[in-house]
Amino acid sequence: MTRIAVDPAGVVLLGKQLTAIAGDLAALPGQASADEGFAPGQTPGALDAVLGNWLYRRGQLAKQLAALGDLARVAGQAYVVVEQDTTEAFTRGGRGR
Amino acid sequence: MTGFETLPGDPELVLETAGQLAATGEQLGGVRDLLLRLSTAEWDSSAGRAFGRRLDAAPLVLAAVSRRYGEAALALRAYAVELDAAQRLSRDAAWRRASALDAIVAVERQRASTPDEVQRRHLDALRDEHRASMVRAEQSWGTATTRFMVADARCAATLAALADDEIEDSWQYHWSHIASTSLGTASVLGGVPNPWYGITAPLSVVAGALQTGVDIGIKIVYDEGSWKEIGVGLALSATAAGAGVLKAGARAGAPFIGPVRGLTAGERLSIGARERLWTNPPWRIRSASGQDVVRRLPLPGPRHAAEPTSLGGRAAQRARAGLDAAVERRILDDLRVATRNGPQALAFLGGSWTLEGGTKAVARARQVQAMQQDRTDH
Repeated sequence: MTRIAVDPAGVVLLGKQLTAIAGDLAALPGQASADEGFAPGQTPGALDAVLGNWLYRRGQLAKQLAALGDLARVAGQAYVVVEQDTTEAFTRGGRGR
Repeated sequence: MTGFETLPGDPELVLETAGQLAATGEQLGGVRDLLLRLSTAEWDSSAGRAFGRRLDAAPLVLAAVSRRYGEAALALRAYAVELDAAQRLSRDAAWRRASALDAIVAVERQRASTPDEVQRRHLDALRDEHRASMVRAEQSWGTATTRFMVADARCAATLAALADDEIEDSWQYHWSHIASTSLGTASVLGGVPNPWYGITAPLSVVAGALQTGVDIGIKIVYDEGSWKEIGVGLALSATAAGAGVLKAGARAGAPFIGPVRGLTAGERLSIGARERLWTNPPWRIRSASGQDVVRRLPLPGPRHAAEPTSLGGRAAQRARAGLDAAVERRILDDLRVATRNGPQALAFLGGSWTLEGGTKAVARARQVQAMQQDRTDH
């Protein structure tokens, strides 16, 4: 038996959060800025690698989360519409739309 | 400048950076927990479970990034402590050395003006004491800088180990991205492994060719960047026909008879550029000094077939139908050859159509492509 327990507003919110996370990920700096206070040495370059050597993975993840965010928003709204239509159908005596 | 100065740098700023890294790491870890929780809590259905499965990889990546940033913050904090200590020691040593040097100069001046031998011997002894102080200060300075260098190497090794994890990009992407975004000069790129090097040789006479080659490589392999931006880049516009270069590249490698020759993106671009340079050579002008100068030529405007609107009646209809058929034949021919040559060639052809954007041929091309796709799907 199909079991459905959905909080449509929660799903819409999930979608918005995913979109926001995707935006945050895309905005992360990819390298250390010039005024980080480092003395000359190997550390600034190594930090650049920590921050910037997952750019592709980060871009892919941001795209994936943004797409899933859109899906969740659409799905959440669809649940609301279905619920409203179904409720309306019952209140009109089962005539449907 | 004596070389014995306070070590540069600002430990407070390093601590601030560490704080930001730690906060970002915690935030990303929080996002991971949120994803794991939210995807099932509000959406318990088969659709919700399918959605959750699509999200599966994200928490793993976020966990790795969170760990990476968190541990990098710890390493930077330790670095900041060492930098602070080394700065204090080097500042103190530099001050002691400068004081000793001043004292030596003063003593020597005094000695030069003193005729008394006893007094001179006393001043010699004093000068030696100051010299010894100066040597001790220099040793302290050396100890401070050595201590810092060890801390710096330790921190860099920790960070390098953190960067070498499951989310690291491939070296091809890494270097291509660096080449595309920050370096872009042949002299610098000569020293790094460049997967698109084949692009550069035939086009190396054109400034910016390397950049364009790398950009095209990234666009084709990783689908990043914009054909339009690449098309107005110096290298392609110097050939006065960016779209033509790409289209010729899409056709390259497919003989009329016989098997298709496998080509890399670089080879396709090279062949395309050679073909355009052969047919449209005058992109190079000679300056008064006799040196070759690369001149950026404007991209040609969209090439329309002559609009037969001025013709009337059946003649106009016939002309229009004839032109449409010719355009469609050319498009179908390009598409057929590019399809034979594989996805990379199709990307080149798509790029050429994008550069020709807005023309009638492109609109028709898109229709034809959609029809072809439709046929393939059914």
